[in-house]
Amino acid sequence: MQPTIIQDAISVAANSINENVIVSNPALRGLLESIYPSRIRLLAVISATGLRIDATHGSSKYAASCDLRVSTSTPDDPLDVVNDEAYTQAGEQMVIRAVNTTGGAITLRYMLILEPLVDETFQGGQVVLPPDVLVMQRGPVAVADATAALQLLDGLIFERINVPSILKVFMTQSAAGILRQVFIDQDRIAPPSTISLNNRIPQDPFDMTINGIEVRENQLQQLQVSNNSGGSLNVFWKTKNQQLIRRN
Amino acid sequence: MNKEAEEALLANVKSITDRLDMVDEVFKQLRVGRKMTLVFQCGHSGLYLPGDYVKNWGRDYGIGLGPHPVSEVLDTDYHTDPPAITSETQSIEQIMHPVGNSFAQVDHMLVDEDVAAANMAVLAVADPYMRKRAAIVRGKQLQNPKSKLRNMAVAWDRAGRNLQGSAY
Repeated sequence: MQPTIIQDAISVAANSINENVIVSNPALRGLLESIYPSRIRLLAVISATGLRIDATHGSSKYAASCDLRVSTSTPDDPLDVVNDEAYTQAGEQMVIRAVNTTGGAITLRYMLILEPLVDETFQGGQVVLPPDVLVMQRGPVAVADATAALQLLDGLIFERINVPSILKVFMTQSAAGILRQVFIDQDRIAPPSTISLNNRIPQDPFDMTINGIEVRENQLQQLQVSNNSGGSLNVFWKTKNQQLIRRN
Repeated sequence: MNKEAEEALLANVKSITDRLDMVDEVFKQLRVGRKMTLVFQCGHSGLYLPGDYVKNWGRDYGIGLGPHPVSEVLDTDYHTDPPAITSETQSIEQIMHPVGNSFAQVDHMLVDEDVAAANMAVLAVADPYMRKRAAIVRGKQLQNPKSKLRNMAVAWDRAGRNLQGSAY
């Protein structure tokens, strides 16, 4: 079987929500559902800061409230991958929801690639799939001078996950002065340390700062930053939780 | 020396040395009596950016635009259509060709203070939600003959809210 590859550039109006950017292009409406069990690869960039996306297959979210790298071109593969380790059954609807909180229209450029996991003998129905990786990425997040232990994941959907997972964290800062540390529940896993100065949404693998943390089900993940630089700075972060059990 | 000759000399000197800080200082002294200021110029729009633009890159300017200083001035993407008018659209002001940071080269230069003030770009740090900048860019789009926004704006004016949901 051949993969399905969607690549599009779409403008999202000022102060608006586009509930599914794939639907907004009439030429792509026939590709709304996965026609076979497949691996999902989502890549995306935006033309200016202020547009955020969520991505789901069926009812499962695999990218939550993700800010994207600012670029004048199409996404770079693999550097602008949002998530490339989500897996869908046949017939699940693909949704990319975009929220623009600014006063100007912004371009979202994305690629959604469905790589088949079955061959031509596939007769329909469900197959056993690997567990999804769950991704969040945010930035710029302003961190005022003299901030101590700002919780970046506070209130976000993947702050706690109901199955065991392995956590990776990628971070950058806009200029020198930010320190990060990581707690799982009350255990300090990574003491305060500096992070990359790349001033953009983190890229995998260049901006990795934490790797291989075991997180049991429903444990609280705390990603904290501090700023004693003498001025306000911005931080950019991305978390990837490799679930160890598939939930559905 | 008249101003044009001075600018030509400045350009020549800058082309043969990388010590632009010393060149700017010498020329600044030559211009005693004229109120001059150091700025950076966006290579795409021609607008000016503050003299500390590169020094404070990542602190006050260029947040999220990468490690190397470039212009954060907004530009219009005329190749991408404006978003369709839908039932969710509340105002035609929400509709425009999308904007993006130009990422153009920035050049350091000495200019008259009044010229700098008149051509200074609106910066993201002063307009975090893009309200002022989008209004400026949208005004330019409405003047541009290749913009699809003009017809949409006319249709909205004629049909008003009745146009909502009928854009497809």
